[in-house]
Amino acid sequence: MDIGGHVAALGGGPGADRRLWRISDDLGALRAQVRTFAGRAGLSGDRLDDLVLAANEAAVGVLTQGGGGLLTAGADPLGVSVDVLGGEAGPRTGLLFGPPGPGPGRGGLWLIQELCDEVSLDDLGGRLRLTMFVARR
Amino acid sequence: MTEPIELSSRRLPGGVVVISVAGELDAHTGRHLEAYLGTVRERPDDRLVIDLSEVPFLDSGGLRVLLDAHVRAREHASRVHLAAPRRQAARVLTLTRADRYLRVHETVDEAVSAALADAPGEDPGGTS
Repeated sequence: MDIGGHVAALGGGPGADRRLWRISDDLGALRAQVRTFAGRAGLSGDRLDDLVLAANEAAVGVLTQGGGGLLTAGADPLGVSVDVLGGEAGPRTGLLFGPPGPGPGRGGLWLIQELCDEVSLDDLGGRLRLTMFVARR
Repeated sequence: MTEPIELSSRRLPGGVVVISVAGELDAHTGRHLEAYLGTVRERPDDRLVIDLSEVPFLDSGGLRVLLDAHVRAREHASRVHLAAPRRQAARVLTLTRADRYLRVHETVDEAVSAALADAPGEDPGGTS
């Protein structure tokens, strides 16, 4: 899979560590897995909380689209990356909402951009991929 | 599924209801809180204190429930007070600027005092 950016740089690098999970309704378990991975990779405090929340918001976006998806986490000396790849089916409105506020379907991508140091969103042949990076600092 | 949240409430004299939430408040568990808020309100202008001291995680779905509660309270000239959010929840409230709408207090006692100071049935003012 061509994953680009920070995660691609990890692909064959020495000491690169990556994990992949399928996104399901069990968001609590997914958050726990991302937290454990990112904590072991050196994130802590607000940085760790921010990445876990960003990954959660992206996963919620995938679930909102009505399809399955994959979450990949990777670590390098600079920080931790999370890629979320959505399914092919469904509308693409899950991630594309505005600032948080009352009413459904708001907050996800806006919040992710506030939480992460780098965010990119691209189209992989009909599937949306969101890449997020949080530096160790 | 995400672990269920635990919800409890106590009604104080003066139309103040303290709701205690224990567990991660996300898009799924937020639905339970939303339904619960509807059951504990005896009057539409009840003032709600939501104790977040046992909420280790808050996401935009959980935040939406709190903001919806705020909107509903404002429609009845009432107000929602949040009490004792942990670090992650406090950060979400700040980052999203939701703390401009929701009154956030360091302790439950402070939140209850503030809620009691809100005159029932009168527009409490502030940002709507």
